Amino acid sequence: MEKIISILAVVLSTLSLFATVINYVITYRQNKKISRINMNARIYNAIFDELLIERIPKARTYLRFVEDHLVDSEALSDALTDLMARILYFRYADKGFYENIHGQILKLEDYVLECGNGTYVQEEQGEVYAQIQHMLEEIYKTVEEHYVGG
Amino acid sequence: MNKIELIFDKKLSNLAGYDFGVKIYEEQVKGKLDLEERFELVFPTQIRMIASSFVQGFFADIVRQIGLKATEENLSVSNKKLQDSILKKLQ
Repeated sequence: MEKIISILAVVLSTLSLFATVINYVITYRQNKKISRINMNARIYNAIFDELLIERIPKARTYLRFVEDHLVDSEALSDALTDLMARILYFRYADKGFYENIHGQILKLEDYVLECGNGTYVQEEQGEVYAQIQHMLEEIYKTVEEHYVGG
Repeated sequence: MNKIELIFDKKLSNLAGYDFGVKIYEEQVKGKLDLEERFELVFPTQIRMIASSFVQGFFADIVRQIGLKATEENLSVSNKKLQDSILKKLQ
């Protein structure tokens, strides 16, 4: 009987030790993940908040057609230029993400400026706005997915 | 005079596109300026905006030759607003 009790005691203490180690590893990983999320949040706030929440949406509302040309695109171009400067951080932190979003921003700026050179009748103007909306959504989605996945 | 007067289609008010920037540089600028000295680019008055893609294409060879810092220091643009825009877009 004593032998059984001592075996049980050894098994229980081994299990207890094992559980303690597992618990420690889980806590360590969780803390590390929380620290990374907090650090990412600070970086994302500094890089994106002002531009994605304020400047770009406001600049988008300035766009309009005058004599079938897209005009008042300076604010959007400026905001996109500033966004490109701010995302330089990711050129070193995550090159794949940087190249992806950089390409999307360049494409949008090119489209907006090229629309300023072209002539668009009223029916086509809606398509231009829709395309700009789509390209903006792509940029916001890319940022959001990277943040959630990061 | 270390200066080039750039010529564009009169219908263009905005310049965009990396390849277009490279093309304009190669056709109108390459080999015609002393990049080690202060140089001036004169854009037609109808040009209002320049996209980052155009700036990066146009200045790629210049930056390769003299570096980004010297490009920023030596470049002068006829239109102050365009100059500020180009300097912000140079990377």
